[in-house]
Amino acid sequence: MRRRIYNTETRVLDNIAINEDYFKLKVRVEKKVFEKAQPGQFAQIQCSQEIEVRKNRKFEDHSELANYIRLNIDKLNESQLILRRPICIHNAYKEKDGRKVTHIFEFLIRKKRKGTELLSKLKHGDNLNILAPLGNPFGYKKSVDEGREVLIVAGGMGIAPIVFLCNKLIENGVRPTIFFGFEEDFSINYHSTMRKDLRALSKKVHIASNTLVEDVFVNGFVTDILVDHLKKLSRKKLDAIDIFSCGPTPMLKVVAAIAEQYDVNCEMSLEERMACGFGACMGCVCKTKNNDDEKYKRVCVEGPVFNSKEIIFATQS
Amino acid sequence: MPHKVSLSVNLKGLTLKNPLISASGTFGFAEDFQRINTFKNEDIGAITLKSISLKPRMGNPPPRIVETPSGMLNSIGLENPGVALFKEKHVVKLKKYDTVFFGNIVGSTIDEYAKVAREFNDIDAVSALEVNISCPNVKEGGIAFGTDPKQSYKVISGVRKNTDKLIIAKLTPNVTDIVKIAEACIDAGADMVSLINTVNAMAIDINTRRPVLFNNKGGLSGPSIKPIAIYLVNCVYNYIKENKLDIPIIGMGGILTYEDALEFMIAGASAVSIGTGSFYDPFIYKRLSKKMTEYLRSKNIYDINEIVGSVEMNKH
Ligand SMILES: Cc1cc2nc3c(=O)[nH]c(=O)nc-3n(C[C@H](O)[C@H](O)[C@H](O)COP(=O)(O)OP(=O)(O)OC[C@H]3O[C@@H](n4cnc5c(N)ncnc54)[C@H](O)[C@@H]3O)c2cc1C
Ligand SMILES: Cc1cc2nc3c(=O)[nH]c(=O)nc-3n(C[C@H](O)[C@H](O)[C@H](O)COP(=O)(O)O)c2cc1C
Ligand code: FES
Repeated sequence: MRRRIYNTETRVLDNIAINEDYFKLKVRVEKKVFEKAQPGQFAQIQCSQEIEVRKNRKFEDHSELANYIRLNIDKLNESQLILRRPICIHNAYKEKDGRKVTHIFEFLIRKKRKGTELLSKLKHGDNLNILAPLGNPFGYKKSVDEGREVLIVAGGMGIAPIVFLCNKLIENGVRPTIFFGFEEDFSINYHSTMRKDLRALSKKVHIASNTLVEDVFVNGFVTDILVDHLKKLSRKKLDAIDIFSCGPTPMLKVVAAIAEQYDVNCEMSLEERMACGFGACMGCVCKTKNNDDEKYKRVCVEGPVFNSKEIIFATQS
Repeated sequence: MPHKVSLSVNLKGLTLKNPLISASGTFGFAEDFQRINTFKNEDIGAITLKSISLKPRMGNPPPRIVETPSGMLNSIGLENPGVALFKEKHVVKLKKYDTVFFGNIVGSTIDEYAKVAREFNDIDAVSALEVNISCPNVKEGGIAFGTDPKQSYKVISGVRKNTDKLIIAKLTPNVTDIVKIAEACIDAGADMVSLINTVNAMAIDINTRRPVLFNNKGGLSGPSIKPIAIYLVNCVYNYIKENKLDIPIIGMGGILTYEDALEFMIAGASAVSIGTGSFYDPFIYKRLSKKMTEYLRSKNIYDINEIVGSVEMNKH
C-alpha cells in the first residue's frame, strides 16, 4: 500500500530528559501529518548542525519557517550528518486550549552518538525537519475488527512505538496485555512513571527485569514470561491472539520462535540502518521468505513491521 | 523587465529543462520521491534510474549502509529486478512524467551489457543509457571493467553496436588515470561521460573489530567526496577541450548546495547529478534550481551554459 509522506517542519514544544541516556521529544506537527500517522510508523529526523543554525529563531507560521530554511540551508557547516535518523512515533495526540488544537508527536529517544545527542539538545521553540509518517504500521485494525486478544511484547527501547499502539487499541475498545522487559539502565527514574502509563493502557502489565521494580520482580527475560502465559492457553485462545512486538533483535528472534512454536499470529518491528527512509536507495533491507521464495525487503517501506513468519534472522548477531 | 535566466542545457541534442539530474541508485525507478507531498519528478532536469542487469540480482546482505564524516558508505550490490521485470512493472509509470529519463545498465560480462542495452531499444521513455562500469560493490563486472581502458572500450563498443540511444559512460574514481578510461570510452562511441561513481572505502567497528558493512567494503558518497570529484571532472574536461571533442560531462559527487553544483559546472560539467544530498533534503532539485537562478541573475548571466568550463587556472 502506497502512503503519502510529508516533508514537514515541526516545532519543538518540550524536550524532557528522562535520565542521562533517554529523553522524550515533543513536537507540534501539522494536522494533515498527524492524521496520517499510525502506530509502528516512524519519522526520518534531520539532525545536523543545522539544528544549531535554527536555534532560538521564532517564526510566525510554517511557510515563513520553510522559507527561512530554504534561504539558509546553503550556509550549513560543511561537515555534517548527512543522513536522517529513523525514530518511531512514540505517541500522537491532540492538546486543546480553548478552541486551539495542537497536534503532537512524541519521540522517545535513547542517546547513542552524535545524531541522537544533537536531538537531545533541542529546546522549546526550536524547529525540526522530519519526513513522516513512514513505513508500514502494526496491523492492529484487524485485531480490533475481529475482536482479537492483543499481547504486546516489548524490550527496552522497543517500548517506543508501543504507547501509540496501546492508545489506538484502547480508543477502539481493545485492552492489550503487555509484557515488558528491560535492563537496569532503562529503569532508572523511569520505571514508575512508565509503569503507571502502561498500566493505564493495558489489562495487565507483566514485567521482566534484572532489577527490582518496586514489588514486581521477575528475574528473567520477557520471553520467559511470555511462554509462561501462552502455555496456559487452549488452542482456541491461541488462535484468537495477535502478538505485536518491538525490541532488540535477539529478543525478536526468540519471540518469533515462540510465536512459531505456539502457532500464534505475530507482527514485529525491525531496525536497520537507513539512508533515504522511503524506498529509493535499497539500503535498509532484511531477508524475508514467502514459502520457498527468499528475498530482501525494505525495512523502510515493506517494514518496519513484518509478520514474524516472513523474517529470516541473520545467524550472526 | 528583468531578463529571464535560462537553466536549460543541451546534451548532444537532448534538452534538459535544468542541469540537475538524479543519480542512479538513489532515486529507485522514479516512484519513491513522488510519494512525498508536493514533490514533482518534473522539477528534475533528468532522472537516472537504478542500475539494471539482465537477470534479477538479490544484492548484498545488510548492513548495506553506514554514515561516515560528511558522507556515507553503501554496498547495495546492485539489487534490481532484472530487465524483464523492470520492463513489465516499472516502465509504464515513467510515461506519466514530463521529464527526461536515463537508463543505467550493468553486467557481469561484456555480452551481458550488450544484451541489456538491446532490451532498452523498445523503451521510448528512456532517452539515454548510462553504462555503469564503475560499481564497486559486486564481485564480477562493474568496476572490473571501469578500471581497465581495454575492458572499458570493449563494454562501450558492445553497447554501441546494440543501441541508438545516447550512451553515457559512468566512470569510477578508483583509478590512477581517469582520463585514460574516459578516452577509451569516447573512442568506443560514448556520447557523454558521467563521473564520479563512489570511492572505495571501509568503516570498522572498534568494539567488534569487524567492518560495519556485511560486504566489508563499500562506496563512499556525499559531501566528503566532492573535492575529488571536482578535480576529476576538471581533468576529463581538460582532455576533452584539448582534443576539441564534443563530449558533455555529467559531474557528480557530494552535491548538497547550489554552490556545489556551480562549482562542478565551472570545472567543466555540462550538467550535474545528485544522490546522497537528496536523502538529506528530498527537495534539493527544486531548491538548487531556484538558488542557481538567483545566483546567475546577480552576476548578470542569463544562460547557465556560459559558466560551463569557465574555470581559469592559476598561471605559474
Ligand atoms: C524504524 C526505526 C525506528 C527507530 N525508533 C527509535 C526510537 O523510537 N527511539 C530510539 O531511541 N531509537 C530508535 N531507532 C534507532 C535509532 O534510529 C538509532 O539509535 C539512531 O539512528 C542512532 O543515531 P546516532 O547518530 O546517535 O548514532 P550513530 O551510531 O552515530 O549513527 C550512525 C548511523 O547509523 C545509524 N544507526 C545507528 N544505530 C541504528 C539503529 N539501531 N537502527 C537504525 N540505524 C541506526 C544512524 O541512523 C546513522 O545513520 C529506530 C530505528 C529504526 C530503523
Ligand atoms: C545508496 C546508493 C546506491 C547507488 N547505486 C548506484 C547504482 O545502482 N548504479 C550507479 O551507477 N551508481 C550508484 N550509486 C552512485 C551514485 O549514482 C553517485 O555516483 C554517487 O553516489 C556520488 O554522488 P553523490 O555524492 O551525490 O551521492 C549509488 C549511490 C548510493 C549512495
Ligand atoms: S532507507 Fe532507502 S530504501 Fe529504505
